[in-house]
Amino acid sequence: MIEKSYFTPSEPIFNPFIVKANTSSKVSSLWQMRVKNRIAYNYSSTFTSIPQKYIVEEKRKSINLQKLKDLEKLEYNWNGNGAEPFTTEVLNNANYIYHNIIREPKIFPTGRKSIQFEYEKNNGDYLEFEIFHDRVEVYMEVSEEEKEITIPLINVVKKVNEVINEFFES
Amino acid sequence: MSFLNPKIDENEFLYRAIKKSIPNQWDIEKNRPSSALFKDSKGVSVDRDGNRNKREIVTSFLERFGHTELKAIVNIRAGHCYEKDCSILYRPLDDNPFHAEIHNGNGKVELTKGQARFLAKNCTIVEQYDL
Repeated sequence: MIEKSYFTPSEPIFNPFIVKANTSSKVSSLWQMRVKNRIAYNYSSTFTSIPQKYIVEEKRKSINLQKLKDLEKLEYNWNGNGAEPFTTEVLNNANYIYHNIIREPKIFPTGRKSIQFEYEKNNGDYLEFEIFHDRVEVYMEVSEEEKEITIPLINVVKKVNEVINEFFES
Repeated sequence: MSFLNPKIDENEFLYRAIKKSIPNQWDIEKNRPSSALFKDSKGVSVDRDGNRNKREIVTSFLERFGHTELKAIVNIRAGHCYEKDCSILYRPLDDNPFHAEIHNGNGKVELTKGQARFLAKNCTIVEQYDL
């Protein structure tokens, strides 16, 4: 099947007919968001060519999964300027958030004991989550207006997904 | 050792190396550094140009970091740092008389997210290796 070659085993293949039948049953909000994000892909992969943005999204996913593993292996002075290895708390937070967010980010290590998730639109609008051991700091540039908020770890995934939605729907 | 003017002119260029760690701070999709490159709890370590030409500066980085250890070298005009109210402190080292640090400018070491993003967007690639 076309879909199988583009989804990893952890990402269930979307079948529009099955989901229609199950909409009244227990479908998690995360699942619904992923379905929403992927429905166009599945239809177009069946009937037309695969849109570039979905290929990019799948490519990012494979890169990100590897990056999260590699972040655990970074040793002292990994940046040449005395940066320290990441703590288990930061790595756990990053992994937990990554596996529960609705869009693939770009992931980067910082030299201040945080891991950064980034999104950028073609028009230059920008969103980043800087994940620390005890909080997530959000920075957003939309139409050259800057906005910063801090999210505590309680309900962090819900808040992060709300911010992502707000950013991509603005 | 200190032989450069401690006050860094806005037209002077500051150079920063991106090490080839896995993962690193280079945004492959945009072919430029992520703002994560300018987020450092010790201050953003840079080299002043100190009236040297680019080749001399690149050679100096390669000798210190190792010829196979760098992903890229970028530079930023000091004026861009001042535009975002960063301070640039000349901090020569025994083995690097051109060393300086970019700080927040508000009495803090770490740059704000806005400052880091601005520097990432405005820096220029000097050299790229194996990208």
